[in-house]
Amino acid sequence: MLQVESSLNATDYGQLTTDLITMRRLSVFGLILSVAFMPLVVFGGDKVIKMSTTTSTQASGLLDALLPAFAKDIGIKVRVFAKGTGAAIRDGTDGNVDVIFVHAKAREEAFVAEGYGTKRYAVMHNDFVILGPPNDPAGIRGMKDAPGALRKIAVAEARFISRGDDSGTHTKEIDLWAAAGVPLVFKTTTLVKKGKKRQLTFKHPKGSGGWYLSIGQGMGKAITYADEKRAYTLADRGTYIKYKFGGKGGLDLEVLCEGDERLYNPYGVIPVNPGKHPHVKFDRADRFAQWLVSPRGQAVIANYKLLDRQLFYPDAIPDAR
Amino acid sequence: MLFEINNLSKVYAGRKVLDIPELRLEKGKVYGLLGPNGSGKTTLLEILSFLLPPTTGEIVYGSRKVDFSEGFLQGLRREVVMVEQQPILFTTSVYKNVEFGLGVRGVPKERRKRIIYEVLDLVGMREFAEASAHKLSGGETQRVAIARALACSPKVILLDEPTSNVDIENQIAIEGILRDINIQKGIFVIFATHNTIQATKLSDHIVFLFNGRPASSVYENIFSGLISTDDNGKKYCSIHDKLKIAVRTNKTGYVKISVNPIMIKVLPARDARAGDHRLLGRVMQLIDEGDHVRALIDVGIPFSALLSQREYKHAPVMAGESVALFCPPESIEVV
Amino acid sequence: MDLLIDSLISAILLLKSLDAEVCAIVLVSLKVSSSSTLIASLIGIPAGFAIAFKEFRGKRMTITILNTLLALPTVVIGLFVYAFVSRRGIFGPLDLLYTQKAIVIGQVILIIPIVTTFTIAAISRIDERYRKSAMTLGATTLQTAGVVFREARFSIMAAVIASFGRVIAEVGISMMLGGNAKGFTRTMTTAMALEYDKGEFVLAVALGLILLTISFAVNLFFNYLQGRARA
Repeated sequence: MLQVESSLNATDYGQLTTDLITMRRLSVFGLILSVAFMPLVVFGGDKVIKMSTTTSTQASGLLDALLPAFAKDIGIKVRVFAKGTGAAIRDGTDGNVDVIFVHAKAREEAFVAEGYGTKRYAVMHNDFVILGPPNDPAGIRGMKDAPGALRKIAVAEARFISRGDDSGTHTKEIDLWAAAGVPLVFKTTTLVKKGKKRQLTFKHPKGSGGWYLSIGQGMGKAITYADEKRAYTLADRGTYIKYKFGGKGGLDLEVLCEGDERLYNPYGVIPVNPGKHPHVKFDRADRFAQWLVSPRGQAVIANYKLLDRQLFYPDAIPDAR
Repeated sequence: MLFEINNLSKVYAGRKVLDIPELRLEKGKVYGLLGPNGSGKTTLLEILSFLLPPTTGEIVYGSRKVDFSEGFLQGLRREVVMVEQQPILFTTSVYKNVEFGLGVRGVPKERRKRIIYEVLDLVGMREFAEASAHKLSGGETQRVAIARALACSPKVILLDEPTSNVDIENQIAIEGILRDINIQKGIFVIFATHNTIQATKLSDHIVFLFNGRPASSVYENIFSGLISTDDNGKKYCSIHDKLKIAVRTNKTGYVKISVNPIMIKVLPARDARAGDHRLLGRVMQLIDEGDHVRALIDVGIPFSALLSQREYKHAPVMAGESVALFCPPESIEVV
Repeated sequence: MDLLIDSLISAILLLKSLDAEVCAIVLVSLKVSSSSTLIASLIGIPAGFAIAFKEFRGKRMTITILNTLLALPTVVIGLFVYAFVSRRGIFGPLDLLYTQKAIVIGQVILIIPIVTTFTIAAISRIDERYRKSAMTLGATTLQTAGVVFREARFSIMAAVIASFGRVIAEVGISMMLGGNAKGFTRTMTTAMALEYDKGEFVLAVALGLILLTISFAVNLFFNYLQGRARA
C-alpha cells in the first residue's frame, strides 16, 4: 500500500520511479493498484466544490492559506481552477464550477444580473502597481497618478506589456488607458453565438506589435515577460511581491507608480445559480462564500502575509484581525 | 596490359570470397569470367570497376597503381563502367538515363543528343527513347543499361551475367552487342557468365573462377603437379597437395597433366571406392551443352567431366550429389 | 453541436472579411513555420544523407537517439532554448526571447529529428543499385547523392510536409519563446490557446478551423507538386 500512496502524490513521482528500479516487481504491482484506485481518489470524497478563480489568488499563495482553514472549519474541500477572469466567469456561466472568485466588479455584477450567479459578496481588495525597468525610460518613478503615468509611457512609446487576456488586470489596464486619454484602437470581431451575430470588441492603444505588446498570458508570465524585455506593465502587488522577492532569479522590475485609488482591485465571490445549472452544489458554494465574509475568513485574509507583506485587505469586515 | 592484379583478396564477414594471387588482363580483348554461382565473379567485377576496394592486394590499371581513395577511384570510374546483373534504371525516361553519364562528364548539351541516339541505335532501343524506363521488360532494361554505359565512351565495360535474366531473343541481341562494341569501338569487354558456351563463343580468353580463386583452363582439366613414386614403384602425380592421381610416365619433378573430360566416367559414390583411378567428389553444377552435359565436380580441385546425353540419361547425377570419378589411364596425359 | 456550427459560421465570416488581425496571425504562423521548416530541412536532409550513407561508429546509437528525440515535448525544448536566450542566459544580449526568431530556433530543434529520421528512412528504402549505377557511370559523391535524392524525393518531401504540419500545429514553443505578443509573435495556436483562456470558445474553434483549412491547402499544394513531378 505504500506504493499506492506514494504514486498518488504527484510530487512523489520521482520517488516512485526510484522505487520502480529497486523494487521492480513490487512496484509494478503497486502501480497497477494505484491506477486501479486512481478514479476513487479523483472522484471520491463527497464534500468537494469546484471553484474557478483568477491566477492572482492562486499565484499569491492566498488560497493555500484560505482553503485549508475552510476545510478545517467546515469540512468542504475546494478544487481550484486558476485562469483569467474572463475564463473564470465563463466557467461560471457554463456551470462548469460551483463558485467563482474573481476581480472585475462590473462584469461580476453583470454575471449576477444575468442570473448566472446568486449574489456577489465583496470579499477583499488588493491593489495594482505599475512596474517598470530601473532605468525608467518614460520617467514615471514616484508618480501617484496612474493614468498620468500611462500617458507618459504612451508618449515615450516605451515598451509596455499588456496581459491582453481579457482578465481583470487587463480590464483595469484598459480603463486606465481610457482615463489617461490615450487614443484607443477598437478592434471589432463579428462572431456567431447561438445562431446570432455578435460583436466582440477589443480595445488597445495604438502601436500594438510595436511598443505595446499584448501577450494574452497570465500575470506571472506578464511580469517575467516585462522583466525580460525591460518593459512596463500593470500588475497586482501580490504576484509582483512573489516574483520579486520569492523567486530564485529575482526581478529587475521595480514598482514605479502606486497608491492611486484607481489602482484599487476588489475581489468578489459569487456562487453559481442553481436555477441556471441545477447540478451545481449551491449549498456548499454558498457556505464557502459566507465563510469568506465571516469574521474568521476575513481574519485569515487580513493575516495572510507574503514575505512579510500584507497583500489583501478585507472589505466585508475592514478591521478584521 | 590493362589490369594487373597481385595478391588480391576480399573478405566479407570473416569469409574470404576472393583470393587471386595473380591475374593479368590484356588490352583490347574480350574476357569471359566463367564460374559457378558464388564463385566471386560479381565481387571481382566490382573491384575491377573500382566500386569496391579489395581487403588486401594491389591493382595496376594501365600503368597506374590504384590507390583506393574515393577521389582517385572517381577518376578511374570515368574510364571503366559496369553493368550489373539486374541493372536498375533511374526513374525517368530512357533518354535521360542514357544522358546521365554525359551530364556528369560535362559533355555539352548539343553533342549529347547525337551520342545518345547512336548508342540507342547500337542496342536497338531508339524508338524507346521517350519511354519511361521503369516500364521496360528485363531484356530491354538490360539493353538500355548497356547503352547508358556505352554513352560514357568507356575504355572498359564490365558486364555481370548480361543475359541471365533475359529471354532468348534478347540474349542473342545482347551477345551481338557485346561483340560489336569490342570490334567497332575497341572497347575492352569483361563479362561474367556461368554459361560455358557463351563464354567460349564470345570471348578471346576465359578466366575461370572457382571458390574465389582463378583456376586456369579448368575445362581441359589441365593441372600442374609433382610426380612421385611409391614403395611399389607406382607413379603418382599430386596436385596442389590435395589430390593424387596414378599416372604412367617416365618424367619426374614438376609436370603438367591433362585429363580428357570426355573419357571421365561419373558414378554414384556408393558404387565406388577411392582407388588408383578413382576420385571422390561432389557435383557442383551441371551445364547442358547440347550433345553433352558438362558436370563440374569438386574433388578438392575443380574437375570437369563431359557426359554424353545418352550416358547422362542412363545414370543421371544431380548437383550436390556425391560421386566418384573414374579416370582411365588412357585419359591422363603427362605433358 | 451549437458551438461547432457557430464556430464554422464565425470562421467563414472572419475569412470573408479578411479580418486584419486574423490575417496577421495567419501570416505570422506561416512565416515562422515555413522558416523553421526550411532551416530544419537544410540541416536535416543533408544530415540524414550523411548518416544513411556513411558507416561510422555509433551509427545505430545516433539513429536511436534521433528516434527518441522525435518524442521530445515542445515544453522541454521551450525551456531549454529559454535558458539560452533569456536575458540572463548566455545569448541574452541578443534580445532574442519573445521574438519570431526565438520561435524559429525552438521549432528547428523540434523538427530536425523528424526531417533527419524521415530522410534516413527514405534513403534506406532506396535500392542500393541506384547508388552503384550512378557511381559506375562516373558520378561524383555529390552527384551520386543527387541521384539518390531524386529517387527518394517524394519520401523526403513527405518528411518536409510532416515537419511543417508539426510546427504549424505546435503551441508550446510558440508560447514559451514567442510570448504570444499580438501582431508580432501571436500564431494561430497561441491565439487559440488565448481565446480558450478568455472563454471565447467560438473564436478559438473558428481559428482552429482556419488552421485546418490552411494545413489542408498546404497539403493539396504539395500533392499537386508531386502529381506534376510524377507525370
